[in-house]
Amino acid sequence: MRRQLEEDSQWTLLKTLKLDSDKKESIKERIKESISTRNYNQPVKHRWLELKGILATCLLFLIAGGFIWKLTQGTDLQTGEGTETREFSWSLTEVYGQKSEEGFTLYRKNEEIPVGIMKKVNQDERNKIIASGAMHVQQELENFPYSTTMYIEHVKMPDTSLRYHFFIENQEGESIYFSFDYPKLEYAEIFEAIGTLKLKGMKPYEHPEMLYVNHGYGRMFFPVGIQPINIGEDKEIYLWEEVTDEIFAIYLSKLEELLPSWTRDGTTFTSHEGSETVKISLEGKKLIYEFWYQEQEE
Amino acid sequence: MRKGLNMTRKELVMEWYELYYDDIYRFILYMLGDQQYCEDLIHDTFVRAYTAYDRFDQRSSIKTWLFSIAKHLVIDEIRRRKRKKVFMLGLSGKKQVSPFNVEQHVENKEAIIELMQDIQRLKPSYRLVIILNKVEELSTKEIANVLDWSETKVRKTLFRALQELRKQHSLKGGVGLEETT
Repeated sequence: MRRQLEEDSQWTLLKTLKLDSDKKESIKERIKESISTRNYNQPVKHRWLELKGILATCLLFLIAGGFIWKLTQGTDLQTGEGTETREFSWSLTEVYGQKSEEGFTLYRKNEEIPVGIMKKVNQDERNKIIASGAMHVQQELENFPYSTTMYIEHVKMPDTSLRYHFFIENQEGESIYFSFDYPKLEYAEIFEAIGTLKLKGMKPYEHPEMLYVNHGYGRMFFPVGIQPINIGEDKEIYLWEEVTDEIFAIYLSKLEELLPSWTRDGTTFTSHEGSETVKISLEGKKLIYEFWYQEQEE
Repeated sequence: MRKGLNMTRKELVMEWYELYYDDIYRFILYMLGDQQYCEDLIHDTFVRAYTAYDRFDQRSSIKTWLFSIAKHLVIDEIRRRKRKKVFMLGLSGKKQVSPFNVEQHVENKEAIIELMQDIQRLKPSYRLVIILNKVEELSTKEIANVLDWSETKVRKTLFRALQELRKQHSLKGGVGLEETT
């Protein structure tokens, strides 16, 4: 009984903690400022009101809206299959570009928050982009469709913790610049976009072998072209369309080559200092990673 | 809570902030143990609520929905830290000590920090259920809603989390924590 009371008093103690009023106000102002940069300040409608009449008008919307969209925006979608005027395309059909003042703004289908941008930049602009953020990683991507330099920026923004920057030089000495925000897009999606990129007027290199990349700051190498199904805290599941038992075996052998200091036991890899263990398994077309970290409590 | 149909989305979110900032603050602080990041994630939670308003299906309460947004941000941050920690270990070979602080002048600050440290030693899923149940007093059904788990999973995880916490206390020679009821 006494122990129960002591337990209760400890939880009560945690409940007493409150944000002090200065901080509360400063966060409130930050939120207001962030919200003001977005454009949803129309009156909020109840959902039942939104639904009212939808059934009656949806057919009209589909027909008329489709026509209007075709007439006014049709050429803005540059990544759609069969679009003759496209500036770029990739196999990541979830993400498309919409023309903006400077280039293209990238969106995930059916979502209104941009997930990245694409534009042409000169050397000065490129240098400014690189100098403007905390770039933690710089890497030349080998065997990608174009000679590509990648930077990973650590950012603290709503919805974004890492920003990937990719620069591809064209023949005019400019750079085709892409940026993608994680976790708006998963790492695998970002690399699928860059790994399958086709730029208008620039012939892509087609590497005969699988490409492998790190995800974020991690050391494990993942194949390019896998699609995230379920990304959890310690377990990640991807769809790997091209995989066969043979390709999977090649991947595991490649990991031994790419992670020479790691030890391999079957399909489990452990870093040399033992801090990270990754078990990789294949179930049909599902590529599954399970992560264990030495300091993780279990 | 709604004052009328003419309320803008911004006004609505700021109203939610006034109502729930303390709950969201405690949840994020106890999950991460870091005041600075906590403030960033409170901000992010309400901005995301603002942008994602159309996806709020209103089957859960606003408070529960805000917790589920905060949960996603917190889990992302924990994953990011974990990967970064491993990355930094690889670079320096030294352990990175995560910042842990409560800047406020509150009564029993030491005891609160000690409890926070105990909670921090738990794995994230245990932390989630303990904080939501014991501190935020959400029901099993509400927690299941926030975490998108079954109620059975919530009960089992809460039971194990409290066992683990009790084990930590006994190892430190502290006061034992009873199992959940």
